[in-house]
Amino acid sequence: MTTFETSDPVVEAIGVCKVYQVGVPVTALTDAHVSVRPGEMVAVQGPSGSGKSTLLGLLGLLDTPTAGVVRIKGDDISGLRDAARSRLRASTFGFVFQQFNLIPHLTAVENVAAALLYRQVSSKIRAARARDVLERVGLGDRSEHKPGEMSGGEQQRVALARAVVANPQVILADEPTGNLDTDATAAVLELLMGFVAQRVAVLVATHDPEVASRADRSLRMRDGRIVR
Amino acid sequence: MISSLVDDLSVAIRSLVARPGRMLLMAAGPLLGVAVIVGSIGVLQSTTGELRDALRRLGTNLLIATVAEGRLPFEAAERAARVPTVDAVAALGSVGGTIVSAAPPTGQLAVPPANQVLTADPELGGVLEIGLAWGRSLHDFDEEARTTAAVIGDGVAERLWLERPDVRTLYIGGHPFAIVGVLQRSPLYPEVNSAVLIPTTTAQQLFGANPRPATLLVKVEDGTERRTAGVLGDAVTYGAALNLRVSVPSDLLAAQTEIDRTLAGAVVGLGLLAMVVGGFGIANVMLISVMERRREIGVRRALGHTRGVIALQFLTESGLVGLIGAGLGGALAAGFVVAVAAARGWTVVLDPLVVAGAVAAAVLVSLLAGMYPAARAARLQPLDALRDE
Repeated sequence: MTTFETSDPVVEAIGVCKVYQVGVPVTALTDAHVSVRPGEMVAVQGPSGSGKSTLLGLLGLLDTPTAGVVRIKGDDISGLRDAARSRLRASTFGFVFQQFNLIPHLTAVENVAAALLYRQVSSKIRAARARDVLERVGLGDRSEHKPGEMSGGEQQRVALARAVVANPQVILADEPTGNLDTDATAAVLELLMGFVAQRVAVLVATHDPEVASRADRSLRMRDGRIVR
Repeated sequence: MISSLVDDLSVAIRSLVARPGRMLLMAAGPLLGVAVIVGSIGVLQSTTGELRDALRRLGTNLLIATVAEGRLPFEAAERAARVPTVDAVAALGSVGGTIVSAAPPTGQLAVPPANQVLTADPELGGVLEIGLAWGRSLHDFDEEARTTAAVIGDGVAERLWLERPDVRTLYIGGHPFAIVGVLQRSPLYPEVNSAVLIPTTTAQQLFGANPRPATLLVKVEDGTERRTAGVLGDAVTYGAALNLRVSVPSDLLAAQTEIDRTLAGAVVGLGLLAMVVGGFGIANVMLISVMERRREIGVRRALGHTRGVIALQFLTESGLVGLIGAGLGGALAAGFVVAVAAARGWTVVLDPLVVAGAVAAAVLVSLLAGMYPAARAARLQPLDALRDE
């Protein structure tokens, strides 16, 4: 194992390609080079279908690249099997999606606590930690509500709480403000900046220039390539 | 490991409870299957429950000897008692052509409360291992004095006193008899339950009854039923050409059990069929469920749940559905068997092996049915699952 300095990239993509077989091969990502360091906020911009989600998915170990290497804290994870990848994903990443993707039949606190399932954490401690984080995102009074009873902004803050409850080193956010109004966008953005201040790396795919303007740097994508 | 299983169970229960209608639909197959098997076999076994119970309690060591025509010799009982493996003998004579009624003969037709009149034997209670439910039995004094005293079977008492609890006199062939005792119910020789017993001497005098016995009830040493039945004929008739038939009540049970087994086989087949058809239903609904919950699966994968965990969650759900259905089906069927047995006056027989086997089969079929949907759920690409429609 390579030694990992706190200023080294926490996640890196080196020459990563992704080709989907949908009858014919479709190239979703070509030769992507990305590295993200702790405490850094990176925006990924580009039109729909330009490969932003694919890039985030590959970096977050939700999919395997057709070519190239993904490194987590300097380690090449190519050879890992599903169980090890899942463990690494759980300990490294928190995901936020445009569609919130909360589980509809669970309350806010249960949705957040779900991120701590299968980790030998007792249900009591899970719930306590979930409540803590909900408090931090300003939803302490909404913890027993189900997603259907909450506004979009509130749901996205629950999703954010779920993403960070396991103390990830990287937050991967795919259009996190795409379904939110201005006020809710500002609130979510403030929270994201707060995690950045705590040395969490944030990689955010976004159309929103306001979000992009707060990032330390921006990657622009077109047709599956990072163009800048 | 254990806490993972607890997590898995709690997640599965939450998902099932969130869609109660769907859960019940899926549970219908295992429910029907278990209900059919447990209910039918329970009823089948309960029909002979009392006899089973009695045989278990009293043993199988009773022989019943009758002749097709005519009567047994006078000394039949003494002769039978001389067989070394015989413990006790009771000889019953029958009094033919008499009508038993609860009221003096007035020309009106009344339903006779008893099927037949038998002559008593003091050994009867001992051989059948029953006592008296009420009153006294007939003694030597009754024989000597030719009393008009009668001991009635349990069924007769029930029929008689249900309508007229004050009646203490029966009219047999027009002659009044005092009811002095009621026999306990005999499961081994049910004929006695619907009979009236009177002294042999009285029967002879009033009705000209044949004093020779018609039936021998023979209690033998345990395990010698077959052997004793083989020699009883010659021992009683001394080789005379009497067509003596010896039956063993436990043989009746064996024959009944044979029929039951055939029926039970058919019933179990039907129940298993219901489970398998229900299994396809479960697989179907689970597949739809997997498609509907793609996002949930994607999120769980993003949260670090492995393929194995996802598969196990769906397997647990199908197994739980099977268990819930089987539990409900078993409970319904048990209630049904108890109700039927109560209505018919049977002793309830619910074989725990049958219940456990049916439940296990239902859960197994449900788990098998859940395997394909579980595999589909585990194979879902998380990115695809999370992508917008």
